[in-house]
Formats: sequence, C-alpha cells, structure tokens
Amino acid sequence: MNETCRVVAASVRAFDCAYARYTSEPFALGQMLAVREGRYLTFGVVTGSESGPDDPSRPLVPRGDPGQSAAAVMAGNPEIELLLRTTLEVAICGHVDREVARPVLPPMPPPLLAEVHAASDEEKVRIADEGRFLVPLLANPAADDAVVAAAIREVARAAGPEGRPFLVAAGKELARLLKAEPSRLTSILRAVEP
Amino acid sequence: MTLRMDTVAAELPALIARHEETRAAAGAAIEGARAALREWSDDPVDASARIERALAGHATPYALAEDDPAATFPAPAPGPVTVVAADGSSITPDRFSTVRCYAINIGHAVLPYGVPFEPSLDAVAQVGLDGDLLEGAPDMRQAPRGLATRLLRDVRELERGVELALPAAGAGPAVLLLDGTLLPWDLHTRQASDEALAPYRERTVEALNRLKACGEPLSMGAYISASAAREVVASLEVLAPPPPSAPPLTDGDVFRGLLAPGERSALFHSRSGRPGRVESLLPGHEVALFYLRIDDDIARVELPAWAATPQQVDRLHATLVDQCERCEGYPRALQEAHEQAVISVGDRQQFERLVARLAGDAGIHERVNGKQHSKRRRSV
Repeated sequence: MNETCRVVAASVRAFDCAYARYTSEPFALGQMLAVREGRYLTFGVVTGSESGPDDPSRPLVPRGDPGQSAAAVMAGNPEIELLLRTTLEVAICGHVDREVARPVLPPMPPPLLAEVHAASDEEKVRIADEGRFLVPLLANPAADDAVVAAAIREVARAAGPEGRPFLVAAGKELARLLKAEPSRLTSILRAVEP
Repeated sequence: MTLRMDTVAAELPALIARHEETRAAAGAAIEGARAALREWSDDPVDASARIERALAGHATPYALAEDDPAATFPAPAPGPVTVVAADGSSITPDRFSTVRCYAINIGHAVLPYGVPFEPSLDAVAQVGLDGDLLEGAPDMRQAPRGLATRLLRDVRELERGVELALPAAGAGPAVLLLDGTLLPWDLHTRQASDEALAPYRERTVEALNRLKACGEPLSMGAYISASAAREVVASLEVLAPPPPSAPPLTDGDVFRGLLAPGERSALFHSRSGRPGRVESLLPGHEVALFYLRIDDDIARVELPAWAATPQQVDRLHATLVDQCERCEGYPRALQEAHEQAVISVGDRQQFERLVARLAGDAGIHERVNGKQHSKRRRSV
C-alpha cells in the first residue's frame, strides 16, 4: 500500500485521515498508525474506514456488466477512481514525547495534512506498553469490541516471540478496565483468540 | 418578494395549450421539410446549386451537404482512444467591487480507454484585473459586461484543450471535445472593435493551427446538446418554401425522425454571406457539422473541416456515442470537465470575501455604493 494518507481533521482524542484517491486496500481496522510530524509523534488505531464519492452530491452508480470485476469496471471508466476517496477514522492511543513512549492522549492534536504511516513493529510494542494503550483506546466510543480485539492481535503479532506474554498482560489490563462490563470483556477476549 | 406563483399558475394552462397548437402545426411543417430533404437527396448536385444560388450573398446562415444530405450512418464500434475535454467557468468583474477582478476556471478531463495514458481530472484557475482584459484596446471597457471575460474563457478553454490533446494524440488516437460552438461567436461581435478582438482571434487561430498540425491521430468535435440551429432548414426552405403560417423549425426537428439512436447525419458545411462572420475571420478553419441522435436528443457536432477525414469523423462519432452511453446521454468527458470547472455560488461568495479581505489588509477600503448598501441591509 504505497498511497499517501494524510491527516484531514484532528483532535487530541482522534483524527481522520484520507488518501488522495480511492484505495481498495486501506490501512486495516485495528491497525496502529503513526503520525511522525509535529511536536509529538502521535499513534492511533484505525476505528473506521469509508470509501465513496468525494462529492456527496454525486452518488456512485453501480456500473459494470454481469461478471465484470471491480478492477475491470474501474479500468473501463477511468474517471471513477479519480472521483472517489478513502477516509479513515483513527482513535489516538499514545504518543512519543522526547523519545519517551506514553500510552496516553497527546497534549495537542497531530498537525493537519501530516502524513500517516503504518507504525513499525517496534513502535507498536512500545506504545502498547504491556496493554496500557487500552486505557485511551477503551475510553474512545469509536473503538468497539472488534477494533480493540484487532489492535491487541496486531501488537501481539508485532511482538513476535513476546506475543504470548503481551496477550497475557493485555488480558489482565482488559480485565482491570472492564471489571464492570464482564460481557464486553468476554466478547473482546473471544475476538482476540486466533 | 418571490415569484408570484398564484399569477403564473393561472396563466400556465393557456400557455401550454398554445404550445400544443404550435407543436401540431409544426408536424406538417416537418413533413414538408423532410420531403424537401428527399428532393435534395435525389439530386444533390442540382439542389445544392439551387440553394447556393438563392442564399449566396445573404446573411442567412445555411448548410450544404458534402454528399447525400439524407444519408445516415450507424455508430462505428469504439476503438482505443484518449478522450480529452475542456470546459470553463468564470466570475465577471463586479462593477460595484473596489478591486474589479475576474476569475476563470478551466476544468479538464483526460480519459484513456485502452490507451496507455494517465487519466486526469483537474482545473486551472486564473485571476486578473478588469483592465487586463482590455489587451491594449480601451474600447473593450465600453463592451457589454462580461464580454471580455467570456472571450478570454472561451480562448482559454480551447488552449487548455490543445495543451492536453497534443500529448494524448502523441500516445495514440485521441478525441478533443468542447462544449458549445467550435468557434467562439463573440469573436465577431459588433459590441467591441476589431482592435479589441484581434488578440483573442490570434490566440484562437494559433490554437487551431496547433491542432491542425497534429493530423490524423486527433479528432475534434464541439458538442451542442438540443441545438436550436436551423442552417439545414434554411437550405430546405429554398427547395420547398414553408407556408407563411408554419412555425419555425430547427435542424433537430428534421433529423429527429430520420436518425435512429446512435446514428449521425451526413456531413454539412456551414455557409453564410454575412460580412464579418466568425469563420471569415479565421481563414483555414471552416466549420463542418453533423447531427447525432442520442436517445431523444438531436445534438449538433461541429468540427473543423480539416478534421473531417472519414477516419477522424468515424472516431469522433464512435467516441461520442460511447461517451454518451457512459453518462446518461451526454459525453462523460465533457460532464467531468464541467464538474471540474464549475464555480458554485459558495465559491463566488468566498472569492468576493477573499478579495475584500486582502484588499482591506492592503489598506484598500471598500467603497459601498447606495444600491449595494441597500441590498445588503434589506431593512424594512
């Protein structure tokens, strides 16, 4: 996925980012992203993804012949891709301040139009901080059970051999945070299971 | 106060009834015109000579067919092609504004179909002071409001089309589409002097010359949906003069029953004895035209006579039909170029506010005249 994605709206709790055009393979739900511009490096988890016409007054008509793939329809109608855009919603789960990773909300939003990248495996593990990144994440209403579970799985994968200890730590953190919501805790833990 | 709907609603039924009467009377006139077309088709050489004898030297525009005037042509299958379209929108200098400036936004679409070329949808904007449009001809200031902006916009549309069509034609077959007439009618207006219009004419000729030099790989057409032109009708009226009571017909009325969907008419050449008509000002760029049926619409397609070889016309015809199928009856590339060009009411207000703010920052304060002031307050 080489398309550039940039911040188009931002607060200290969340930001929206958009690709210049439509992409059929945007950053995935639960994926941790990094904004490496501004006073603080900002990290967040994808909570939503939407693709459609850039101009909402011009709806996309379902074109194409029976059996024709999306790629073939796009190739046959070259204007379509230029009129669509993919946008993502991201819940902020941590930041880096003077090289110290902090799994809490940053003091200020990431800069508008800053580039958004996939966080590296090392960054994911640092920001997740044995599950403490779940505190700001669970406080964000956009981070539903599927998002939280996907984010935990993603960090576990990034941690490699340390994945299992991370899952145990994250489970304990979840149990602490959701002790008043046992059904939600169960739902997330089930979704985390491979 | 808004439009008095109670008044207009009461008058509309009678108006619609009158329209129906006119339409019924037009039916007979259309039959007469089609009979004249058959007569022309039976002996094209003799009929064309009669038309030319009758109308040569007259100001009435008319059309002569290249071959059989009643011939119809089905759309050829579309081949690989890059379709380029340019369209423009403008903000006319406001005489109430402290800083009288114009804005021109030229949108374009470059859409390759089976040709390895980069698609593109975008616009280029240009701003300038009212005085910039005079181009050394002070009498343009006396011309009707918007004339100079319109002229510049038309010329820029063509120039932008050239800038994009030439590289496209270098990569494979290409079609350049414009909206409206091929040659800007304002180039021959009597509302501005020859000296004022000359720079716009020169730029138009230069752009057309560059397109002409491109040769066979490039087709070009200016598309007029629901045209009200009546040049073919003028020729037919020579062969069969209509009764004095007949309503005026358009070429579209005549070709609607002749053309099946997707078909085009024969190629015609535009003629007129009117002195100073736009074509006479652009030597070497005579206009050819055909009519094209897209669903119930009879569109007029104008093209330079030098771009009317069979291969160029077939490519243009096939492309237009294919483009219209992609966009509910109007060429997709023109639609997208328009979408890129359009300056919305919001954009216009934002432009006006930006000019006023920047002028204010520069210490230029708006002189609010009485009419403007009154309109803004709208007090009771």
